[in-house]
Amino acid sequence: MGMKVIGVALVVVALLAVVIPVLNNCTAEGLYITTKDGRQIDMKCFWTSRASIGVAIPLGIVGLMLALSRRKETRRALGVVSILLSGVLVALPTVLIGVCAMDKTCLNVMKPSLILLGVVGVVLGVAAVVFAKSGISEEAAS
Amino acid sequence: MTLAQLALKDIVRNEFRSWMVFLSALLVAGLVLVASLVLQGTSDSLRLTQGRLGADILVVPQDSEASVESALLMGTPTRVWMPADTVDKVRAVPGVEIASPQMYLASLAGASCCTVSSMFIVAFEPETDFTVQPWLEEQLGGPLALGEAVGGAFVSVPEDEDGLKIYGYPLTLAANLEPTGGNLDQSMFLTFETARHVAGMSLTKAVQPLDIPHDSVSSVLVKVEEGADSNTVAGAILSGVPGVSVVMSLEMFDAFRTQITTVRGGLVLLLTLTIALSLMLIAVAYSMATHERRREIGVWRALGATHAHVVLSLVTQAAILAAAGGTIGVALSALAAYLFHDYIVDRLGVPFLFPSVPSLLSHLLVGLAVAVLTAILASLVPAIRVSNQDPATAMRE
Repeated sequence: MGMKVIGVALVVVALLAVVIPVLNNCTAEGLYITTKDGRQIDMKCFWTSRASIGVAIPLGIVGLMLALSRRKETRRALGVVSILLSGVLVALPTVLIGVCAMDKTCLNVMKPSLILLGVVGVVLGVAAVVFAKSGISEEAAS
Repeated sequence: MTLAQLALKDIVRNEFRSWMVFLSALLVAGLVLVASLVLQGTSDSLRLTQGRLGADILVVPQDSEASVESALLMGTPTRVWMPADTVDKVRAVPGVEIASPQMYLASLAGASCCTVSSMFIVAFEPETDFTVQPWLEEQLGGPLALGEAVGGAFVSVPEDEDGLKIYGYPLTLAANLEPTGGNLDQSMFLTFETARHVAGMSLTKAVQPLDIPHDSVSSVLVKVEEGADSNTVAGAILSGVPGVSVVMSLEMFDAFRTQITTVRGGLVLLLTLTIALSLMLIAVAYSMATHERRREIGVWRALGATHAHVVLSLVTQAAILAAAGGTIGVALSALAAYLFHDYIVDRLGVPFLFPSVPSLLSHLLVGLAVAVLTAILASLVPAIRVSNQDPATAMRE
C-alpha cells in the first residue's frame, strides 16, 4: 500500500506541475516583450511553464509505474528517476531558465510552486527508494 | 524486544492505520506551523514598522490617512500634498517638540532600478528628521550626501549598473534597512535635497519628469514634548492647522490590525476543525486496529503484559508515526511559507515578516508537539479500552 500512496502522490505532484505553470505565466496574463516592429516575444516564464510540462509528464508516468510495480529493483530505479525529474523541476525556474523579474504571478505563484512541488517530488522519490525493499526481489519473481 | 521495536513492527504490519496517522499528523503540524508563522509574522511586522516610524503623531493632508498608512506599511506609492507652511503651523502648536516634514514620491512604473513595478520613495528633511537620521548617524557615522539613498532590505543595485537609476539619475545606495516583511522593504529613503536634484535632472534625463509640487510636503511627523499628552497635542493640531488629518501612533495601522484579527479568526477555526477531524480519524483507525487485534492483545495480557504495557505499546506507535508525519509536515510548511511569502503578503494585504532561525525552530517544535499530542490523545482511548478487556474473553472471540 505504501508504494501505491507514494506513486499516486507523485502523479498528483506531476499534475500540479503542469496545471499551475500553465495558468500562472506571463503569456497567460497577456504579458510579452514587444519589439520595435510590433512583434510579441514570449518571456522566460512562458518557456519555464512549457519545460515543466516536459518534465511533469514523465514524472507522472514514473508515479503511475511506481504505484503498479511489485519488484523492489524496479521500485528503487523508479524512485531514483523521480528524484532526478523532481530536481529538474526545482532547477527550471531557478537555474535552467528562470522567471520574469517583474511579473508578480510568475514570481509569487509559479516559481515557488515549482520549487515546492520539486522538493515534495524529491521527498517522495527518497521514500520510494527507502521503502522499495518491501517489494518482491528479482530472484524471487523469477 | 523493546517497546519501540514492537511498535515499529506493528507500524509496518498495519499500513492503512499507519498512513492515516502519518498523514493526519503531517496536516496538523503543517497547519499549526503556517498559522503560527503568519500570525506572529504579521504582528511583528506591524510592530517593527510602527517602531521605525518613531513619531507620536502623523499629520497628513485631510482624508488621506488610509493611503498614507498603506504607503508606510505596505510600500504602496501614494501622492498626497499639503502646503509646506503646514510644518511651521504644526511646530507652533503647544506641546510639539519636533515636527519633521516628509515627501512621498514614486519611481517610474517598470523602471529597471526596481523589482517592484513602482517603488515608493520617502524624502526626508535631515535637519529635523528623527526617524531615519539617528539610524544613519549610528550606521554610517553621518548624514546622507547629495545623490545618496538608503534602501529597504531588498533594494539592491542591478549587477550591470553603477547605481540605482531613478528618473535617469544614478543614486548611490549607502545602506539597507532591516527587513519589515512587506513591500516597504523595496522602498527608498533620500533627503529633500537629493529628491529635488533628481526632479531637476529628470526634466532632461527621464522619459517622464519627477514632479514635486512647489512648496509642498506630504506629511509631518510629530514628536511631542516630554510630559505632554499626545491626544491634547493632536486635538490642538486639528483645531489650529486647517486642511489636515492626524493619525495617533497608537491608532496607526488600525485597519491592518483589524485585518489581522479577521485572518487570526479564520486560521483558528481552520486549525480547530483540522485537529478535531484528525483526532476522530486517528481514533477511528485505532479503534478498528485494536478491534482486529483483540485476540492477539488478549494473548499478550495472558502472557503477563500489564495494562500499562499494552497502552504504552499502542500509544508509542501513534507517537512515532505522528513524529515522522509531523517532521515532514513542519519542514514542508516552513518551506512553503518561505517560498510563498510574497504571495501571502499580497493576499492578506498586510506585511508578514519571516521569523529568525531560533524563532522558526520554536515554531517547528510547537507544530510537531501539537501533532504528536493529537495522535497520542486520539490513540489513548482505544488503547485503554483494549487493555481493559478480559484476556480469556478476548482470546475466545
